[in-house]
Amino acid sequence: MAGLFATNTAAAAATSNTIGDLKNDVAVSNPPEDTVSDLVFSPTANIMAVSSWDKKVRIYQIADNGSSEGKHIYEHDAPVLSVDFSKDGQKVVSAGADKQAKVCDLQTLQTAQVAAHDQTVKCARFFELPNSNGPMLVTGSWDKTIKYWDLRQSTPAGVVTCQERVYSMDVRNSLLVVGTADRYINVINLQEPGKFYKTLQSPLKWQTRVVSCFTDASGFAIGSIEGRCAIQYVEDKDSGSNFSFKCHRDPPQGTTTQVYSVNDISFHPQHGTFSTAGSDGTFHFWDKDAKHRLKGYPSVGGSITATTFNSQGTIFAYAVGYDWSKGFMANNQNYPNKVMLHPIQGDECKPRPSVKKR
Amino acid sequence: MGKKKRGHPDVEELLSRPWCYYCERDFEDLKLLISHQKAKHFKCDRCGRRLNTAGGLSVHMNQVHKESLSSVENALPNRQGLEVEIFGMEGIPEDIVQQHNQRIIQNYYQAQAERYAATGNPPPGQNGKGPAKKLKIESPDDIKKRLAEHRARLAAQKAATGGSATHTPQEGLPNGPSPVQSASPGTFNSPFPPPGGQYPGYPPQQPPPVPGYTPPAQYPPAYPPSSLPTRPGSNLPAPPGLPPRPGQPGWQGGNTASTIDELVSGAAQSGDDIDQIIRMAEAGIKPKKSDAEGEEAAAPPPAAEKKSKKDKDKNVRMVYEDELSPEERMAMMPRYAFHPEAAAA
Repeated sequence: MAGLFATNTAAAAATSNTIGDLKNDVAVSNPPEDTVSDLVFSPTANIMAVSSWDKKVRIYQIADNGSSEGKHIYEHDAPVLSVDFSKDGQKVVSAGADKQAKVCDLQTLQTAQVAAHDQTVKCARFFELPNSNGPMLVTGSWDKTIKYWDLRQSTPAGVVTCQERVYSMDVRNSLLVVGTADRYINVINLQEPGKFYKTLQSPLKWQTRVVSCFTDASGFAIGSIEGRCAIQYVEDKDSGSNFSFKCHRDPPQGTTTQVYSVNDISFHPQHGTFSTAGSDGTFHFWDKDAKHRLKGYPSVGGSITATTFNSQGTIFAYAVGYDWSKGFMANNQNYPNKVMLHPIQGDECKPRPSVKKR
Repeated sequence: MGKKKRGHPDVEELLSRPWCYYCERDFEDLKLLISHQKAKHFKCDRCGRRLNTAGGLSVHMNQVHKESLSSVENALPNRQGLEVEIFGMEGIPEDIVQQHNQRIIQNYYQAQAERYAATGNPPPGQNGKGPAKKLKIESPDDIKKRLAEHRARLAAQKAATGGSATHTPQEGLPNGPSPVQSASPGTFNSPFPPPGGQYPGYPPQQPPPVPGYTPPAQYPPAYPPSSLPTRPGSNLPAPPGLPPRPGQPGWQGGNTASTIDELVSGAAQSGDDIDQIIRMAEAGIKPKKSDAEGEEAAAPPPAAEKKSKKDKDKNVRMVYEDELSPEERMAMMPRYAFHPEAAAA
């Protein structure tokens, strides 16, 4: 970790503060030309895949000093909304408004369509079951279905119909969480992929924006458009630990509070802490067990649309771009559109040490 | 009074012991009490720091950990409130002190009664043979007999001293109590100690300690902590009175005319916007607002977006549309539209 982004001497002094600084953040060179819809790091290397509304998926190699180099680019016929890496880091899946998902093999750089839906595919995720051979794919679409694909056949291995359009999905081990319109949350045990292990109404009162699984797959976090996050455990025995908290809102001005959408939630791969990022252009690190905000950051100048950690948890990548939260008129030439790399330094993502009660 | 050989403390000693408002435990001295309070009730569970008062802990939690303290730890259920500022024995409301003393006294007499029952010893002044200093009561015949003896002695003295007429007998005093003294036997014969005389510090409203009588358990009293009077003269501000935390930098506060354009986004841009507004105002144009409204009218569905999400915690009014996600809105725009024919071509 030492030497990452070259200049991390000054940061150690700032770690006791709850306001983090962004001065060491580095922009990715040759960023997408339009808003970034999703970001993901390879589980095996510092390679980042970025999907964008400009219909392209870009693969970058990130060096230890934070510099980035475009490695590959491929194109969809419509905006790309989701991207994911396979567990071995060899394949990238992307899906979008062209109602299909494509897999790109990073060895051969060959791209092939692997999935099809009747509507825009909002999310695509790889998953691997312990007793299976090779990765499988799950896709969720605005056609209100999720489909499983084994990457070899053109017909899905399984289809599950949801109550509403799929807005967000996340997979961890054999836990699949699907957030749909109308605030439905479906939990699926991938050992039994054909049925819902559990269905619940989101504990948040407003539209679900993002769902994200804990690193130990014991539960998941939900972000809503109303500047609020919920921590939800899968099993009923843990339900006492469920809670929700407010975030991404401005201080109240009289009777009015500006609240912003929580656009993405990413869990730190080692510490199990997580980030939230919102349309207010800020991101924060949280410790769900201590129910504590570890670090907050000042506004980055535009909505943050997507975030991710690299596999070692040393880089936090976030995409700044126009996200529609202020209507189409807010989108103009000057709106920032970039992907930033934030080096994780010191304790800023470490969970709070539990203080023993004497 | 002789030296006390008892193994149990006096009620005065018990009443003078410092005790903890939060858990009613009592201590040998004030120093121990204060260190108990710091360790049990005023310790930060985040960092272990021991503060002097609940208010201090509240401020510490607020400033260091950005959390708010809602109750005092390890406290009795009705003593968890933060509104009383306690340090050692200072700051305990008067009525609580009264209740505590009453409880101590009740416990004391209960323990005393139990001791008497256990040892079989009678309470002081109440042994089985009646009053210890029982007075000899003479019958009228005896008195008459003594009077006769007295007179006979007087006559003999008179004869011996040659007729001195003194009536004060020299040897008469050692003869025991006079009839006048013995005339009020009730005072001494009572099996009960005189009320109030024996136990200083004993509140008058307390029923007399009859052996075997168990006072009704009145403790703990269940009155709401909110009715406790706030201690005046406290130099720590009450937690709700703390100034609000400063907002995030980059937040543009006073944009009351919140048109979409003004809300645009980052701090970098808003400066330009304001300049523009000023310029337009100078030029006498009623800017933006009408423009924006015109556009909104022209393009209704996207403009009705969730851009100015306003809420009040209780009375929420969110201006947004739950039907579609932002991505769906965006995908509807012509520039993002997907035309399979065009793609195929």
